[in-house]
Amino acid sequence: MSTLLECRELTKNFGDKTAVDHINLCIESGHIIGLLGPNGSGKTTLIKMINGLLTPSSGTLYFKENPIGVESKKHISYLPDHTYLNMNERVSDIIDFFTDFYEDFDKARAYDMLEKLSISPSDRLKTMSKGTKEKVQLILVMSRRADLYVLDEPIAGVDPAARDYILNVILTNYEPSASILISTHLIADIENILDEVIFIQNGQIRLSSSVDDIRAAEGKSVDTLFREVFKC
Amino acid sequence: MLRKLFKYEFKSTARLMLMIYAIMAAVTVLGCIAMASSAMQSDDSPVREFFVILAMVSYVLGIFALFIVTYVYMCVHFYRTMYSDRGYLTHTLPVSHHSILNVKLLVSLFWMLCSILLLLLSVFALIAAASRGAVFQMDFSYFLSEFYRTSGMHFGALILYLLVAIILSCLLYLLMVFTSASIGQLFSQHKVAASVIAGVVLYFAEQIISTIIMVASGYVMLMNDISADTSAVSAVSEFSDIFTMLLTPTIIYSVILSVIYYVVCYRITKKHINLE
Repeated sequence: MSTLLECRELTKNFGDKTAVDHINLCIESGHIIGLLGPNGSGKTTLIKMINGLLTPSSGTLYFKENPIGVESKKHISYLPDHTYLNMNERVSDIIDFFTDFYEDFDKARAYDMLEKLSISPSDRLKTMSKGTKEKVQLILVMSRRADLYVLDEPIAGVDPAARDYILNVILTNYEPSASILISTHLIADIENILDEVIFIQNGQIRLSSSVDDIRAAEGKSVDTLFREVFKC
Repeated sequence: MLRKLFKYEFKSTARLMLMIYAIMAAVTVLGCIAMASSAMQSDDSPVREFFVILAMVSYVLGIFALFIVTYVYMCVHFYRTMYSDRGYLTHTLPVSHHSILNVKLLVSLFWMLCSILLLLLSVFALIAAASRGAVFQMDFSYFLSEFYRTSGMHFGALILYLLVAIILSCLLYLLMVFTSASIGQLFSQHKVAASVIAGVVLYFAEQIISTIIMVASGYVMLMNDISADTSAVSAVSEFSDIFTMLLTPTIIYSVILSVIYYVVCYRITKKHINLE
């Protein structure tokens, strides 16, 4: 087991508002980690900094002991919480794009998943429903053999029936040495696949623990604990 | 990776640009038909005159609009792929910020220059149609020697000077908008409005600075001297000097400003990316 990601005193301010507040975090390889917190807790801000879409105000962020940059982007596969692809393009065009830019992209795996979900590669994204677009994005992200998958709300926009399939896609398509960081507030749906959870509130880590430890120490599910911790 | 970036940047911009050029060609053909039919007819009926004037006005407006569309499209494309939703993909590609910026700049410059080239070809086609092909029979060697005799400057040197000035102007105005967009994305809200305001501020700042430089460098005094001197022969004989004196500072100024814009744009993209 090796350290993939390390944040030290990581902070992000937007004007006078602090979205991420001196976070210290270490993600090891071979884990599925749930990044859990209420809306506006700083989950997406943290994820965007990991992917180089936001610059930290202070603190450090390292992926495999290197700052976020070209090298980290080769090994981190990122699913944003909204559609970010060119809507005029066909799925096959986007697969070619990913194949060209990401050395770890497995084209055969992508086409296989598309077939299983009955999505035609020749369809343009703009003709698809919101849920189908999200499935396509997830397929693209999970078709990479990355070291770290960062998934921001991967099941928020799809129907409950498709959630099981998506979770199955996530579970069956990552290397054992890789880690997955999943941000969501639909905890009950993903609880069974998580190894660890990080509770985040007001930009600070409230709790970081393994799921087994929570169950043993608290005698309750992560979902129940989350509802208690973040009770309004 | 750079080759791949170029490939996809061309691919994502080519569709609209080729449509623009097809419209440009159609407008040119219509203009040529109007010119040729006017040149072939000897009567000056008011209806014909009206048709020719209408065709010419449409031609000028059409060509001008198409050129503006090229520029605006390049600016919008930059903003969309860098700082809106599609920026998420652009900035998570395993390529350097330099590569992304260079490719976007060079591809935009390529389309701008293509538009200018097509504009010149279009005007030439119109002149050829109006002169019923007489322009092709022109004695170019006589023209070149006459040009040199009256201006004291080789025609090739003039074209080269203008070419450099045009490329640099395109580069400058593309970089100005790219920088405005980069400044605009720094804001938490109303990023597009902030980009537009930044663009307006940069444009006026640039105009003020260039005016100050022109006054300081004696350009205005030079222009006054020329207007005071009514002798055409004197003005023409000084053409070469005046031309060089005007364009050289413009070229140097464009280079300096372009470098400043590029550095600002690059620094913001690398150090202050803010895809909230």
